[in-house]
Amino acid sequence: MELRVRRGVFLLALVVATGCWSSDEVLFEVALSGTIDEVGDEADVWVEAYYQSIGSGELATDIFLIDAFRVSGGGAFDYQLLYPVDRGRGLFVYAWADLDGDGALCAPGVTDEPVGGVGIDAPTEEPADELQIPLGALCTPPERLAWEMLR
Amino acid sequence: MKAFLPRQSRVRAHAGGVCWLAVAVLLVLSTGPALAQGPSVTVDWASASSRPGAWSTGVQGGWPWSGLRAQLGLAQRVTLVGELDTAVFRRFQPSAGLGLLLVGTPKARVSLELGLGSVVQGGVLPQQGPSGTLRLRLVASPGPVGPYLVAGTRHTLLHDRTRTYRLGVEDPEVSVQLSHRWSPWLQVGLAFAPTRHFGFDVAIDWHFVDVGVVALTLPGVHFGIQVGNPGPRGEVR
Repeated sequence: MELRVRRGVFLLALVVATGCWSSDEVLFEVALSGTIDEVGDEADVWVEAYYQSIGSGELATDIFLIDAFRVSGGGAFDYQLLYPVDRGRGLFVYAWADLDGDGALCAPGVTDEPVGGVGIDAPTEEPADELQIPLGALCTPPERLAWEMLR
Repeated sequence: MKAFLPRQSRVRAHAGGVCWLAVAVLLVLSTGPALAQGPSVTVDWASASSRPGAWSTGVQGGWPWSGLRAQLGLAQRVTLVGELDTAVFRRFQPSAGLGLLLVGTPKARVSLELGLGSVVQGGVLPQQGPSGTLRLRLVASPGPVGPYLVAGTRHTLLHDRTRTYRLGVEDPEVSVQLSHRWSPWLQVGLAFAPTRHFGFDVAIDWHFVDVGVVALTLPGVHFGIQVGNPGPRGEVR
């Protein structure tokens, strides 16, 4: 208890001495759920959450990875995403099926791994619970698919 | 073996070298015997050591580092130092501290400088936190031009807060993380003293910013001007 108090006083002194926190990040929990095309029980589908855009000026870029999770065989999914509100804008959910189990999307010589995605312009506290992600393209990387779907 | 540079480029390179040599000669000639006549603000500034009551201030511009510094002699071997460094006006490092003269002879000085301050960095990689610096300064003034070397280390403490808003919960979960950044640097330069009250310096800077976090460090260069009052003529200490 005494150690906690000391640490608290130390932190308070630091904050007072320097005016504010070095960084103050706010994460909002976003409930993502829906369905992805099924690809068979033996294959994993990787679902990746990206900002639609991040940065400004010359450093602006289209998508930026936030988090990723795995859905065995595709089908229904349910995930609680921690979304950092201040870093980027929008949300793009990208999914790809790892048919050969190598952990890589369309490694050299592989041309048949299906991908799909869906965009959410402004994530809110309301659950995004009816996401439908058809895996309708082959081997299209996330930045290309986002560019095709969001523009 | 083929020449690496085309002939025209070699001529330009030679012309550039001659030009720099001429500038260096002019600088050396312009300084005269000033350093031999007693302490100068430039040597005081380079060694972060001033006589009691003496003062100096300097401004430097360069890439990527620029800055301001002022110092005031408090006691025979203790000097109050305040400064503000900036890297391309994205990272600011204000600090204040004491310069402690370890060795002081008419031709050389060795000093330690301790400073406390903070780091405030904007842009795409913002950070802010208290920092402490320690510098070892070696200055030689055998003639009109004195070389100097500064080896320094800066330690910065960052305190980051994360607030997580869970679904269905009004109050956020708060977590605090402390982290440490280490930024050593090395500076090698020449100090020129045309008069005792005015001088300038040129130096090469190696600032290794946030070692282990920032992978690439480029060397820099700066030009500085110093003015002030070095105190009466005579022995430095």
